[in-house]
Amino acid sequence: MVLFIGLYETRTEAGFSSLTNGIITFDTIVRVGLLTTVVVGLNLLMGFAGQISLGQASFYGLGAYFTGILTARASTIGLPPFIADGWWWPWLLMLGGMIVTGIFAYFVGRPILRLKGHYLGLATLGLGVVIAILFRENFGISPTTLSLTGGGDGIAGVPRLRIGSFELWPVARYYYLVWIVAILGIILALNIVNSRVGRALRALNASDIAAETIGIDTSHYKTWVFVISTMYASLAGSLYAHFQSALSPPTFDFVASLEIVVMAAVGGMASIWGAPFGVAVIFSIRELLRARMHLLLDGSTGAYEVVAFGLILVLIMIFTPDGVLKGFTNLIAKLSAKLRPRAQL
Amino acid sequence: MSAIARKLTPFIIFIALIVVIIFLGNRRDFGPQQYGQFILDGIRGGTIYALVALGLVVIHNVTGIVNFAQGAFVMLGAMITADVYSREWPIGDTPKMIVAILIAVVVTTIIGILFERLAIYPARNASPLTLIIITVGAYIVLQGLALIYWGSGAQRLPAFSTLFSENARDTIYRPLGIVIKEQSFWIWGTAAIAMGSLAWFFNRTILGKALRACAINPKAARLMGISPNRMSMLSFALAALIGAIAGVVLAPATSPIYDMGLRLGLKGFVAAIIGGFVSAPAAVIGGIFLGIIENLAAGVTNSGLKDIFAFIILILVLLYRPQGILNNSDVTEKV
Amino acid sequence: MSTPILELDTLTRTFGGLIAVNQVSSNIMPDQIKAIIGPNGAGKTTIYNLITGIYTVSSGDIRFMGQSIQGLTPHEIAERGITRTFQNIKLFDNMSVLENVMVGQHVRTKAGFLAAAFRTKAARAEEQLIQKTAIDLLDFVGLSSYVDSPATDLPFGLQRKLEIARALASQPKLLLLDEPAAGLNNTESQELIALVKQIRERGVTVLLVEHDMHVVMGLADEILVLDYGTAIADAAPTIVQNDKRVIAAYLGEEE
Repeated sequence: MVLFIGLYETRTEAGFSSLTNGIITFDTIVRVGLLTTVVVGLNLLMGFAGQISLGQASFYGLGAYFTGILTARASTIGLPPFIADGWWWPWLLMLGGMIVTGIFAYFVGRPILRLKGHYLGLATLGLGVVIAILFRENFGISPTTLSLTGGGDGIAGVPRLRIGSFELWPVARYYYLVWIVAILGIILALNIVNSRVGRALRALNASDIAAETIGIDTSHYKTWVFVISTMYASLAGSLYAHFQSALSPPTFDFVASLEIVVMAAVGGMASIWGAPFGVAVIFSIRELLRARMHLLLDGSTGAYEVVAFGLILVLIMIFTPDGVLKGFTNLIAKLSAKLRPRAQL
Repeated sequence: MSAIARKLTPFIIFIALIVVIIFLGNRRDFGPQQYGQFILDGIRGGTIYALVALGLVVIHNVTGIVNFAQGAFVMLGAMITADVYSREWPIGDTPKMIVAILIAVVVTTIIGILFERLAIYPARNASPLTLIIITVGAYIVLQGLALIYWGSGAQRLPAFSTLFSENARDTIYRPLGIVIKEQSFWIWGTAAIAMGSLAWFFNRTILGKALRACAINPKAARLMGISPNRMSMLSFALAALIGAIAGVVLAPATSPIYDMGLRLGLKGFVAAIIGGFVSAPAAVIGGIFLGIIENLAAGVTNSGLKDIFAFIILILVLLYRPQGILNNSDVTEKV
Repeated sequence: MSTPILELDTLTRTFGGLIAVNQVSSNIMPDQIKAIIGPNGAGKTTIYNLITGIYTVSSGDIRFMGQSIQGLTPHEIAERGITRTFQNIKLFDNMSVLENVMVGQHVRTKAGFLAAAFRTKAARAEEQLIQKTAIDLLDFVGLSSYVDSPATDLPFGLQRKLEIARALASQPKLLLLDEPAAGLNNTESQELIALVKQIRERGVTVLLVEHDMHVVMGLADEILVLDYGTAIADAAPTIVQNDKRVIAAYLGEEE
């Protein structure tokens, strides 16, 4: 399906735009791909380890800013041009960003995940708020001395990705990269889920105590799942930086983290394939709202989106905590059971 | 880490913090007056955190749920009061303020009850993770509705003292050269009354004791004829009430704005966790402590970084004393 | 065989002012089947939680094969060779019958995150082995026809068996069974007795907390009797049957 969309788009110029009345563009699909990667990582954490992260957008941001600062701000921090301009540098940074984010997540997560209950959710909430503040406040360093994050204005001028001299742009080309990464991410995640490790994760989700007494080191697994989820987010963030070419703090704040959680919930917290579905649904709703709302009012529609998301989240959690797809299939199963003729006894 | 090292570490860190603060403060030539100012402002902020923490502890003790929407109740209390007061009504200022406060508190409490009935009750058997997400979603909804209804600008509410005097601004006192605005006394007074009433309620009334029974052993409580469902609703109503009151007294001091609930909620959590999430008095102390440290630290560094300190304290508490600093029972359960 | 496989040495556990386990000392010999009995609240499950590391010890020691296991985490203890079942059955309800037994082998297998993500040859080979071992175990306990059913589909008596199969999957040297006969009818209890004997034949020492006296008498080589956290008898069944203090503690509990 991914291939189909890509081919279709490169053929026709307006392509998707005209198909959906300008609501869904190629641009959107790329974003969907980026967030799918993030959500897959979150699925592992929420659906399998049973922990919540309310700060996932900040890890997305860490990857983005890591890449952004070390490319667009390379001269400010004194990187020699042969590194800063090398085509291989951003790729290295993507990897580096993942590792740095992962290490950070390890040291934060390990002690917190030893505790009972959902302290991780709280901690990630705080962590997310703090990191967002740090982005906004330029890490507390006065911009006249050293402008790293660009403060409230953010960073502009992140270069496009290249392999040698082949540039991964325009959007059509970048689209392939983003989705290849997303699909690889899904495959790896599925492999983990269907393995000894995946069983251990599901076990500790079902009964922490039983899993421990069977011999599963629950805090080890919870910690590593957390680390992996942040690495997914960081990678997606770096890709985002090269896509958007500019970064600004609001993209990575609490509300963004919440949206990610909603996307995961809609697709099903424990469903890896549900991730792209959830992301796509939320994006569609958002674009729809934007398109329709313009008819009703002239102000920003941001608030309505937010309320809608909150409501969706609450409703989903109440009625279909396993995600909309599962809820759907359950419903169909129930209905068909009722419709089956009673004569079969 | 050995047990003794574990117990000493918080104190070591605490002392180290104080040293760092004084060091940084001296670089800016702060004298005792500045420190005093920071501490006092910190106590004021901390009192609000304490009230938020109380609401959290009430709900958690009765239902086991961590209510991420608690900050929203404070925000609603503040915003509604400001809104009602800003309207043109043919009554004097003081009665109008009283009416505004009453409306704010009642409406917020009703919202709290509705929230419990509509979002919590139907999901009462779901996993804790699901319930947490629900409260998060509710917070988002409430904040979003506030944004829609009131826009993104800040509201204003005059200080209470202006109702009783001829001044256009809040009365200022200057003991020892430290500035205290009169609103602070309103905050402290109200908080003290609120806490006292809660204590009385929980310890002296049948209903309060029933609530506590529910927290300790819901099954036994049900056998005694106490309904956990009603208790759950009551706990949310109480938490909304406390939150609204906090918002009301806070409003004149910090211009109410639609997203104020997030910061407050977060800091209220930290305060509650300092108290181990079970003890109300500990949560209060935790809130005040947090307010002071945060203010001092922000004062000597960069005030834009203020919110970070709450989180740093959170991490430290979670790392070293997960059962809370003031809670005396040891964590003896493993896993 | 003179070294006990498990030694409880003046084991004590208090909760606030309540002494749940009061200086209990007892030994279990390898390949023995030992039962712990006592009225409700006597501390039997607490002892299990102490042995498996779910509770920490207030004072005293627990030694497994000569080495103290006090202070170890539950998964470390499982790795040493002790696993258990639970009174209220804690199956993994989000997995199938087969997967429950497969995950039971966790501590004896090793494919980690990387191996899993990239599906290395070693990981796949190990996975085959895990599956085969699980099927064999299910066969051993008599659950072969339920291999792919969701664990929650099993009737109660069979869920018990599944929990035992899962516990056996970690190749324990000592198996702790927590009221395995609770809720079973007579036929099922007889099957249970036969199964436990077969388990012992495989070289696993069994510790058994149980209320059903038929099962206890049918299986136990030795019985430890607890009352209010204190050991009041620790001997062969025939002796314990006639012990005055035991009768007094249990008055009317005859089945």
